[in-house]
Amino acid sequence: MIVDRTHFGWGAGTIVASAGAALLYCANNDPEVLKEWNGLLAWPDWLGPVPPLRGNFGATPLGLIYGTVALLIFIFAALLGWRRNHSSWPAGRIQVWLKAHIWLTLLTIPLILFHSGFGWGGPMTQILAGLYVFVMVSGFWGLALQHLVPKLMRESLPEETIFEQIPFIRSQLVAQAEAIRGELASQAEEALPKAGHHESGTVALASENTVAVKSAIQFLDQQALPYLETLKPRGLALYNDGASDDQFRLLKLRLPESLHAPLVQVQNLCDEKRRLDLQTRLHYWLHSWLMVHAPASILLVVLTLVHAAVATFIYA
Amino acid sequence: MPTPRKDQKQIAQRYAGNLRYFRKLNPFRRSRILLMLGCLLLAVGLALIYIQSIKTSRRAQLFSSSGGISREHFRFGQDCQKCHDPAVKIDLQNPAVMNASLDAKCEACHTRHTFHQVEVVENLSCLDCHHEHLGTGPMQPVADSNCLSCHGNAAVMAASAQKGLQFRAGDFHVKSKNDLLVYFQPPRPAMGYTQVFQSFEKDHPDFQIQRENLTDPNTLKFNHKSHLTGKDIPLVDGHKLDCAYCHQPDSQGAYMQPISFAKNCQACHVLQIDPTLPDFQIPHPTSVSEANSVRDFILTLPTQYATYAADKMGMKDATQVAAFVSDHMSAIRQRTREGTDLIQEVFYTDKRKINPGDGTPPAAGERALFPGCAHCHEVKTSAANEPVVTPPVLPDRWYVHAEFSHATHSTMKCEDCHGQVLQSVKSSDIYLPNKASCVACHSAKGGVVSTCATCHGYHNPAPGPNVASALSLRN
Repeated sequence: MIVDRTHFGWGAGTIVASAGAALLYCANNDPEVLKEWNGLLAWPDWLGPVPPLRGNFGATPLGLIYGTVALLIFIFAALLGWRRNHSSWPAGRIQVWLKAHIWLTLLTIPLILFHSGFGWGGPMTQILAGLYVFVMVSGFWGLALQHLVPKLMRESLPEETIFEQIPFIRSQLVAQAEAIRGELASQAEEALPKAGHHESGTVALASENTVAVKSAIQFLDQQALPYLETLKPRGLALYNDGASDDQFRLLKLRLPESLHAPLVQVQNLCDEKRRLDLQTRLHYWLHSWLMVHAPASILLVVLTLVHAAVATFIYA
Repeated sequence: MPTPRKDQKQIAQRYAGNLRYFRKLNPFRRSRILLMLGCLLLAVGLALIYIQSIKTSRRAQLFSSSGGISREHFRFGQDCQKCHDPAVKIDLQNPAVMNASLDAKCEACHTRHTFHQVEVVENLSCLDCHHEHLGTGPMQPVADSNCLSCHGNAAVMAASAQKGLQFRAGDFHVKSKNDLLVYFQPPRPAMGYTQVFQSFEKDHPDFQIQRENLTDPNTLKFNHKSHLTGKDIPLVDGHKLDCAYCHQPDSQGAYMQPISFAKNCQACHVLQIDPTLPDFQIPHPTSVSEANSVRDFILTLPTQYATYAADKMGMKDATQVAAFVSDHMSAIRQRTREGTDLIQEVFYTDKRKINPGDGTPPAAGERALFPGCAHCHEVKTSAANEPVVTPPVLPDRWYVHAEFSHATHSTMKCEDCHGQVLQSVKSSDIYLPNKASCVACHSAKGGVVSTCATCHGYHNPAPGPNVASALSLRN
């Protein structure tokens, strides 16, 4: 999800809601703020005395409202994964869900701060606060990655493929390389001189071709195929774009022109493998944050529910 | 080497053998889902264990504590039931039940103070002002808002003033932690201390002493101006008299030690009645029980001379002692003016710088010999026609509704707050700092804290003995 102009309404709404929450918090804590209102707005009795008599703001009516709203936003945010997997359900557009996910969870920052009264509380709330910070930071990290990585993919991967197809395509590349190797091997066998049927000059030429083909096969066996087959190509000679170009250029200089066509095919396969590896890496970068964000969010929602239940039903 | 771009058809053809890929989760997604399920199971499991054990396990109870226990209560911070009665539940609609339970626990240890004044109309709970579970540091000071919930509320203050009319002056608490201290106790205003205000700086009432132009009822005659600026004041131990000569801080540095004759006056004001014997002096009473000691000394003057001769001069021979007594008694009788007796002279004379014997004042810088009790004291005549010295009462505390520490104001000079005292010629003058001089620093502009709790305490001791009974005769 890219944060662009279409988010303006959500952003403005979040700022207004945060300002409103802050104003209410200040009014609840400082009688001077209420005086500024000059009686235009009366503080409702059900919101308790101003300022609250107790130090635990989270237990005041306004603190409970902030906490409850934040909890509902947590639950809504956690439902995003379910919504994405059930895109056909008539529950609003996923784009709207994504925007709401970003901006409503941002709104929880002031809500949680006000609910906690800017305090850490006890062990339970400290763990919750730590988990909350972790979830929010991982969310921000994910948002930043979603701005940077797709742009990088567009520039570096003009033929981005479906991520789930990458292993299949990679196996196709290996099969194609092995086919090329098979063709080269049969060429080498055919080029072998048959004793007594050729003149010495022809035998010498045939012997040179055989050596060249064997060199190409050796390159395939030792460099290209191991590179195409491995999932971790780091350290191999063809891993690097520039080094790979140099390798193939040198090989073409050494080998006869008749072998250039299969070499170009192998080079294309290696280049595609390199792009698939890059796509895999970028895909992990783009989605790896979800490996921590989503499980931590689940933990946060459940523990927040426990916190609410204990505070409301056991200690109350 | 750039590869020619493939069209969508070419790309799609590559997936021909793997069109059901979406039915199988890729390892990345599969591990994420497994991790989420694991977290969900872990969280639910932990939650169930926690909720099950919270009723019985102290550790689980401490885990859900709303915050650390303050330094003051830390030693029993692991024992929730020290404060919380498990049988009493929080009821947000009716917090009084829970408050009463907690207050009772507070009072189990904090037994020695009462709650404010008798005309309070709204009883508060300990928890209203003292907040626990806010961290392991010191307990947070009481917020102004707690005080202003009553003192800033006109309706509450009006009701309090009305309720206060039902009580006698003695029913109100006097801030007295030590019955040996003397408190300057101004008369209580008719409506009590119920003026509504919102901050010290803006609308806190002026201090009662200045507001009502109160005077010091002390009967001791003392002239600050002449003692501090007079040119004929002798040096004491080589130094000019200054504030600190008499006003010495107590062990905590908060207040000043009581003034006493022996410590602060006697160095100059010797009670020598015989010009030939410097250390033959009238004893100065130190308490009400010794009030007759001067009269007794004079009435037994021959005996006092005899004791002096034996103890101080080492005379063993009775004849020698008798001669010593006779000589000095004769001299006293010659000095005493005809028609007046010595008691009258000692008590009623108010002569400054009189040299016994010849009636001439001492030269400038000489120490004054004893001019008579009335020089410093109020001396009245009793029904039996005997002189009676009114015991002087020097208050140890002036602002009895506030706390003060000279130690925390040690960077200031005495005259910064008590500047006018250099012009004071009467004992009745009270030159204590007024509100404006406090506000100069204790305000937003001054930058020094000015909360209610900076000067005031909410709690008071139980009604003690009448102030008058606490007065002691010191000089």
